[in-house]
Amino acid sequence: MPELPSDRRYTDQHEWAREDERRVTVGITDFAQDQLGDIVFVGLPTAGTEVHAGQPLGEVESTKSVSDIYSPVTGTVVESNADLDANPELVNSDPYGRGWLVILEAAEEGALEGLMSAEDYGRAIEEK
Amino acid sequence: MPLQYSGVIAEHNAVRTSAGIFDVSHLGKLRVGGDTAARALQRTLTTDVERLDPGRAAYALALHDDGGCIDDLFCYRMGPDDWIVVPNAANNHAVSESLEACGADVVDEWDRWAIIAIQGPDSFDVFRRSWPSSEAPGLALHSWCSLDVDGHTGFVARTGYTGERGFELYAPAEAAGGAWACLMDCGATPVGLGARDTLRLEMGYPLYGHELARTVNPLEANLGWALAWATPFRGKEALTAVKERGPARRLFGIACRTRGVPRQGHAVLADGEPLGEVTSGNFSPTSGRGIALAYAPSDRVPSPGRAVEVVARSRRLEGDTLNPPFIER
Repeated sequence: MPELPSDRRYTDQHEWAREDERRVTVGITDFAQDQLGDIVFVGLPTAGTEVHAGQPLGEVESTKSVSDIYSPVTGTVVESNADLDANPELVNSDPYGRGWLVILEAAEEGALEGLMSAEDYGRAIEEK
Repeated sequence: MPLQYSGVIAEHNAVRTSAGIFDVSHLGKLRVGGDTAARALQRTLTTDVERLDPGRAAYALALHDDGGCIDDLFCYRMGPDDWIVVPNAANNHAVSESLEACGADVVDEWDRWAIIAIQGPDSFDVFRRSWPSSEAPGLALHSWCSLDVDGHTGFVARTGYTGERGFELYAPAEAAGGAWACLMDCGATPVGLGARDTLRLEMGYPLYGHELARTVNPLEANLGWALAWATPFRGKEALTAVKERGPARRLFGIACRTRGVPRQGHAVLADGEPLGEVTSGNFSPTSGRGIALAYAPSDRVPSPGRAVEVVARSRRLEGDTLNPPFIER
């Protein structure tokens, strides 16, 4: 059973989002990185890019395949994780920490309210 | 064979820097024997099977009459009238059919043998620790010798498909589990299908279903060296004509400068114009970049070092053409 931090919310596309004021940090879950296999490139939007909930935010390339990352919220990119340029494997080794992908400025308050709790997400992936 | 054990990159690196073992028992194992064997094999395969001495192995193609590929495979001469042909699993039946059509007596020995590839710079050390009295480390490339595998007679060959030195062990099925455990105990890393693919791709080795297909002939795939023109192999007539006029398309390599991974089916552009299509692409763990094999019309295949682009979904990856291998050997 993969580790699931309870300080954040989850999407059915296996992203996580953690809110601090209106700043939302986004990454992919441990389940997602495990399914993808070794991640070799991460393509992320630059600061200032507008993103929409449910729309592609970027992509991760693994030795197996390429996968879209979907934005959990609507907002504007504040920062992309520059460490992933040289060390994309951080997404594998530390998906909830140093392997974060982007920080967004959410367009609205309470942007994470529609997302899943750790408990709900845990049940969802258990069924897979 | 699983896609991976610990992770594709770690497994790939184990083979490039130490020693990995692969369970490739899914491969076909066709035994061809008797007094019709030599003649039938000479017709079915593109290598000169009669000049292959007992104790030797060779890479070969099996072709249709029109020169299209049935499969690429290894052929081991076990005795004066005894060969084992090892096709890709998916083509086992087609190769068997072609052999029989050429008059061969074929026995499918698929469940008799497990095949364990032992590959990497430390593969000799691992092998010696596993079978200290075997003479296999002294064998020349593409030779084989018998091996006692826990009381069962198998054989081991200096063959492989990774670009590293190593062996392929043909263990009787009942002794395979013990052989695998012994190799693990002696320091080998288990390696899955994912790394098997990145390893062969870094060497530019073709894979059936990607570079090779029913509609591809070996001259297009740069495999002219595997054709023994002095033998009466099936497809020779068609290929003689291809040789005279030159193949319609040709396989070449692309190494990406842009961070990204080319994949099978991606379009290749030169000067913004369509040039060809990627047949295999992945990340090269050894060189840290995306690499690809692609076909283009022969008269338009760029010379090595030429800039091209790969259309990877919404992005264009910049790269340079080269003649594989993609890594220094």
